[in-house]
Amino acid sequence: MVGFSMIVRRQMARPSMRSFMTSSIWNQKSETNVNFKSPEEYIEQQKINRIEEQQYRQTLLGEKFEYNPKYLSETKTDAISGRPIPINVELLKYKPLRLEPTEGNEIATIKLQGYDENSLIRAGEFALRAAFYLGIPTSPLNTLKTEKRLYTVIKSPFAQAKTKQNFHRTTFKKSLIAYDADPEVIDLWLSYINKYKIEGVQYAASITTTETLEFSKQLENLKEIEFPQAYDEMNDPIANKVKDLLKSDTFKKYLNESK
Amino acid sequence: MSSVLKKVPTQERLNQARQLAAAIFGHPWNPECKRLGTNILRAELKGPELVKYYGVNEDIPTFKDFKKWFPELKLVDPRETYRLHMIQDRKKRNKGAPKKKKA
Amino acid sequence: MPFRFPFRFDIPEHSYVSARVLRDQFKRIQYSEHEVTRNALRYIARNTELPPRARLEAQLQLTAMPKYTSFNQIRNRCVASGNSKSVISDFKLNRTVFRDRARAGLIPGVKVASW
Repeated sequence: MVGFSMIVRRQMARPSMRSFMTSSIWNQKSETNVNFKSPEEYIEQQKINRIEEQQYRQTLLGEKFEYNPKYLSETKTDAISGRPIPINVELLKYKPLRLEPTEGNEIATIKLQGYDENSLIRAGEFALRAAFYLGIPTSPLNTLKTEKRLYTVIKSPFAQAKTKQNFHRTTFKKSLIAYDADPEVIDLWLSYINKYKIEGVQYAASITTTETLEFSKQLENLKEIEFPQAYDEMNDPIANKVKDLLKSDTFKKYLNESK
Repeated sequence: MSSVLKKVPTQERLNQARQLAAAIFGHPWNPECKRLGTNILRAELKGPELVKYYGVNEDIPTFKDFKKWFPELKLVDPRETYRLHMIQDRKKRNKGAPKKKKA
Repeated sequence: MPFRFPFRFDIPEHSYVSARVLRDQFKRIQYSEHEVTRNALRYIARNTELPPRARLEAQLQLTAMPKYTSFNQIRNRCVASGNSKSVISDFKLNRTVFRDRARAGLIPGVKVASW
């Protein structure tokens, strides 16, 4: 019989796609890859952000920027600022405007998920308005099926286990589709949405792109990026292990026997 | 009507076509339903997910982190003090943990 | 003090830790380490096309492996209390912990239902 510990060592040595996590997951230390910053790191990050913001503002000031918004009426003014209200500010009171798709090719779909429907609508309408001003044709904010989950738990620890308490969690889902836009504009749109994302809403975007027939060759020429390998039977760790085992002396003698 | 029936291919011929299609598209071809155990090979490895069950909190700083960042504040974890207090309390009532055996 | 388990592993940092949680975590790690070997042996043992002696040999090797490498030894436990009974898998919480937290509004989206 093959030694038990020997099998383990051989398995650990072979790197493969499906077992790439198994050896590293419990060896890594949590301090090295935390997602939050310590106060000092946070202060440094804020300093860098401020410098970048200032640089960005200066570049804006260098260019000539004409501000001439459209107004609904020049005479009607805002009570606080004393200035007429621009039309795009006025439009915030209404449902978002949309451009009709010209070709009808779906380029990107955004799926929103959350427990609060109001914040979902806010996030979705923000995306729709941003798309309108960027000139991206979109679908209206579609409501998908809401998921309602019930959790019934026993109220008391042991006795009177018949008395229960019900809890529920409603997950609202919305989706919107962007049509016929340039991928660069879509990138700009998505990064803008990402910048002003709302807490408590889960955003997921899937993008469809069209490529030339030589796309696979282009990918091969890119050496810096490593793409995830597709499922390949030759790289499959279990299949490899089976091969190893069947070639080992213990199994070889049985394989030659007739069935 | 009979002329139409003649044109219907036989089961053998259909199976040949199915086998060819399976070979082209890389589908399994197992008409006798033999137990080959391929479902074991096909299944995803579930080990990596199982190991992560108890989880690592990488998103939110814990009390320990704040203690490390602000030593001048002399932060005290109320839950820890409560635990220590309870241990002392139990010891007073002779209900504490038994003493270790000396080898 | 010697380490109680046959192999060393990291203790879960951010969950409730008891002896039973540790035991479960140990089994999880061992299972994922030996998953490939186990499944390879399982494949040989279940494949009716292979000679019966080879299948028997594979089955014997499989049973010779330690119990803590098998999947059915793993049980989902409560992350906050270590309890193994009545664990709600959506939150990995035991029913009492879940009820306390849900009533306190600590679990996002969960409300007391009444109809």
